Amino acid sequence: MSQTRVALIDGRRTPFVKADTFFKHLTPLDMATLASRELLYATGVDPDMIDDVVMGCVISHVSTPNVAREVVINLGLPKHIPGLTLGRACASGLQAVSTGSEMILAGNASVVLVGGTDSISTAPVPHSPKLINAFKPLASAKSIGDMLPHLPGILQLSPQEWLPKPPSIAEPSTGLTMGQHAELMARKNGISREAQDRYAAESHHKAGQATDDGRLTQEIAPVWVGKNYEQCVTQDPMIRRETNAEALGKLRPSFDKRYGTITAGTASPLTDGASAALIMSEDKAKALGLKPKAFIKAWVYTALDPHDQLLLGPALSIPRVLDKVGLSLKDMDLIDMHEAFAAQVLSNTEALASERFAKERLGKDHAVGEIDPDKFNVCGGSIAIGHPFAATGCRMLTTTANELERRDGQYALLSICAAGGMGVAMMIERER
Amino acid sequence: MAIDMETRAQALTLSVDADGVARIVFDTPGEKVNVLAKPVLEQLNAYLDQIEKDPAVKAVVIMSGKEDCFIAGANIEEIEQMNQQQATEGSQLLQRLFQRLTDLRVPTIAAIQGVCLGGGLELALACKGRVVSDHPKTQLGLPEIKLGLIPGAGGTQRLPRLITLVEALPMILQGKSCYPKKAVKLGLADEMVPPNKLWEVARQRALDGKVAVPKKDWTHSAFGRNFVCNRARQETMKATKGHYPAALAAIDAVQRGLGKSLKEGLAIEAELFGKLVETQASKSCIHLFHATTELKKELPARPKPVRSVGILGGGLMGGGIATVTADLGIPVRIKDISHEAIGKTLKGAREFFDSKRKRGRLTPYEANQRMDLISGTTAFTGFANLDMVIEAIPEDLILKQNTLRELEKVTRPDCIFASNTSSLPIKAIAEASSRPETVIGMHFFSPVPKMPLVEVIVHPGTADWVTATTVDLGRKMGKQVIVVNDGVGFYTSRILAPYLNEAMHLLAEGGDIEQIDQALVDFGFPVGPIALLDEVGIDVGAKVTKIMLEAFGDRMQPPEGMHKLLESGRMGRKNQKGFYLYGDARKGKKKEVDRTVYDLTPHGQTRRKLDPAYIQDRCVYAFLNEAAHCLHENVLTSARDGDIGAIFGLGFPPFLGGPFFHMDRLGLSQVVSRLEDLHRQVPRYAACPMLVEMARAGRCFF
Repeated sequence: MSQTRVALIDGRRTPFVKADTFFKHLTPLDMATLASRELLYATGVDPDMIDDVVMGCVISHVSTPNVAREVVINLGLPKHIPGLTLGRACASGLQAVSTGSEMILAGNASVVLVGGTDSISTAPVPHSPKLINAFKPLASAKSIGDMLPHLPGILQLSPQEWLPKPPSIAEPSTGLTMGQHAELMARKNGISREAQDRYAAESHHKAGQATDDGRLTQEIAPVWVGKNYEQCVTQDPMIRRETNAEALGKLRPSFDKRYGTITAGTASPLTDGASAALIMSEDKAKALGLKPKAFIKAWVYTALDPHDQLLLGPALSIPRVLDKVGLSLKDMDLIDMHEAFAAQVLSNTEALASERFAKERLGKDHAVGEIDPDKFNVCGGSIAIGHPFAATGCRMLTTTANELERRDGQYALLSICAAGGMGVAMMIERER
Repeated sequence: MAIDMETRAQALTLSVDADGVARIVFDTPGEKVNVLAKPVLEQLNAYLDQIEKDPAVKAVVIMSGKEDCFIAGANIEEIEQMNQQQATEGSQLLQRLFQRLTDLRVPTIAAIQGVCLGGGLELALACKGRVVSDHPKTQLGLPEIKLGLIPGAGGTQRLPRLITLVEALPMILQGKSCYPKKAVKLGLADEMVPPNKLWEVARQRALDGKVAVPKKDWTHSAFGRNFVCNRARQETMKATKGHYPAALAAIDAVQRGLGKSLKEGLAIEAELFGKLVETQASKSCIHLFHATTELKKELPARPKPVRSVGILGGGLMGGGIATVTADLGIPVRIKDISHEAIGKTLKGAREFFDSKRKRGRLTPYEANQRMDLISGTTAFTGFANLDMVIEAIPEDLILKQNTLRELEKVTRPDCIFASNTSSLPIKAIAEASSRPETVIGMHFFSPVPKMPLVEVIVHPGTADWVTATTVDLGRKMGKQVIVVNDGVGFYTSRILAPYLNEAMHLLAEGGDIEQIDQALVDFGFPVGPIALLDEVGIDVGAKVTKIMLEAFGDRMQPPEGMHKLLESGRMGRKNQKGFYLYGDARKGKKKEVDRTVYDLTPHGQTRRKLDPAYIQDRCVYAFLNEAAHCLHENVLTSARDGDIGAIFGLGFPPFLGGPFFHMDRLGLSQVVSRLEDLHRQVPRYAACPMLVEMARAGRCFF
């Protein structure tokens, strides 16, 4: 049986902006709506053809637990299109792509709108469980008399328990934050502060270049903000073209104030944004006369013990996806790795180049390979552009596919590390 | 006769169940709505006889057999035929019939679902109680005022006796409907129930003899009544300038009637109702009602669904069009040259949807969702799959043609191109098209969300489906849509031009700006012509005058020296400099003439008083005559469309029924002779040949 291939038609995203700035009033639904809307206009595909919408969303809102379905209704798309919202931490974006692809490969769908959206600005801030439990009986009280017995419980709450509890990005099993985990990795792998600063500066420079020459902006849906819509955001405002390793070297460490190496400058910032991509079966694309940018060729998800090197997922998943299709690292024309932290990226690239790592962790005799810097994160990465968790996957997919086209390349790898010690690697192929 | 009996029997049926509940059901066969036509009323009378005689009947429930209509009202055709005396008698007859319901020895309950208007509500008011269903079509109202009448079957008496006066008066004076939830809140209905419970609850209430309790408050005292009514009279006079006798009559009926017994009140109502039937205002309103009803039924072909719309130019016009389109749930793509302009459009749309939300017309979700339907681009991205593009770019033929050529490179072959031009010939724009059959004019009026008219302009090559689709979209936006043939200025801009031009001539002849404007406001226009020119833009006016002069010659000749106005930098409200003062230059709240403008006119600061009637004739006859030209030249395909266009697009007084209806009323020979009078003094008033011909033949437009 000759299997159909999954074609990527195009992708669009909102600008990625610092949390609590331009998009502070936009919900994940608002942003997913904006990205999807622009994508549909850009492709010109009749929305009636869409079989499903799959979206990643890490910080889901209680009011819109299934943001994918709400996008359909918000945009006035045909009401028969269902929607699926899923979560695999920072890998959620690529998870939406692979789940959509699986729907197509299984013959359950021909056209799927995929994407991801996350808002730190509007993230729900819960109250302490004690406060909630103290007030709950009041909701079912029928009279003031019913309420009275519960008042002492409420009055006993400490001032701290009255305050809302902002969630922290900590691993439930280790109790450490992402930054602390990255700090451990830097220490274990001997990643120097200077190397991290250099890496981060380069990410900004590359992203700045890709913005100025239009490679990034062509994928961005303009978003009008402000009370009177007086401001239009058309590019990623966090990119700092003028920064350099020296300037970054002056920043104080964020997670380990005394001996740490990771600063706000070498970590991906808290970001608001959304991205979307349109995928369909190769046959459908042909029938509609659409030229696929690339095909979604293969993907592998991996995981390791969170107490180990939490963000080493790419080093584990990349060799497995290469093995799956029988290619090697040097066959890749582009490699795009999510930049949670400069220390995490450098830990992973070192691991891939390490024979010891290959022997111990992969059961291979030789290292996976050295990564050619000219092919690596060529448009910058999450450190410069920002990282709205679930939106990063489709951002990487679209940018890499476009860049593959520009370079007339054939294969590219996308890889993301995720909470829980998970990782994903996805290979795309372009027809030359 | 036998057939008549049969239909009558079907339109109204009576059945009595084992518990003695009589059920009277209105259900006119073959019609969408029930109306209180004569045979139905006679049958009701007969049933009431029967019920009175039958001791087994313990209670009565009146309901409808139709899902979405209880009773839509009286038969307008019957009212139209009546003179004053017949109308008074007709009113009394209906009052007596409904009084029988009130006087019945057993309780009567109206079980209301769907439209319950006019006579339908008056019937329900005569019952002892009312139960409403929460069906989305259920609405209760007294819209008689919209026909220049007042409720004549007890509405003005029973409604304010049941609910407070501050709630009852607006219902009678504005004809606004009230929905089930509100009806219960006001005390107009006793209970709201789901549709499937309507019969059961009404029946039980009737059996239990539950009677509605009137909501009495301070407005039911003599002082309160007079206070509220006097206030209402003042406000009505201010709003209508006394042009609508029905509004004043309604207040009279309430104020006088409430001080007396119901019987005496009803007599006052009937008398006033009769008087109104013969007023010009009522005849005009009924004419307008028929005209708009007929207009809604016409379509030259099957419209195609419009699922997406592009707008070129996000200014005030384009933004307004985008807003009303998104309000229909249709995605809108705006193209403008700057992100800033698109932002302004979004702001305008947001304000519109927010105001709808605040008035409870949209939920917060719906308001946001409509905003999400509007998107912008500075390229033609997203235009490939649009069903229709509406152009609202500056009025420049070359610019419009070039844009059309650009657009056709990216749009589908069946994408409609609608130009929102107010004066450029559609045919000339279509010459740039590779598919002229898809090119049409769609002339909106500013501000788009508020103005109720759309003038659709077809050129000889426009395909019927394109016309139908465009008209259908305009109607869905809630607009009156007239279809006119191509020509310079089409209909509305064309008849407005000589009207404004004559105002300018009067100014040049030494007239006083305030006096000229006041004369036309007194005539019934919402604003005077000179104030209107400030709104339209003096530069735009000059541009249009030039085009008109080229096309129609001498009768559009502007007064000499008008260029001085423009040279002095006066463009009207938009640059805060015109015939009136704007911004800081204005002292009070009141509109104030910029008297320096007189220095630019031949007579300088010496102004002379003109006879207001003369001012009115000069402006209005130019308007009427040009309207006749439009019909004569087949720009208009009917006088009816001319009346609708002038009233809804230009603010021609609705109580005159439109220029053509007004001319009929004046008598065409009178119109022609007045035009000839004017023509002797002013060369621009040569009567349209069609008018002369029709006057000679003794014909009229309707």
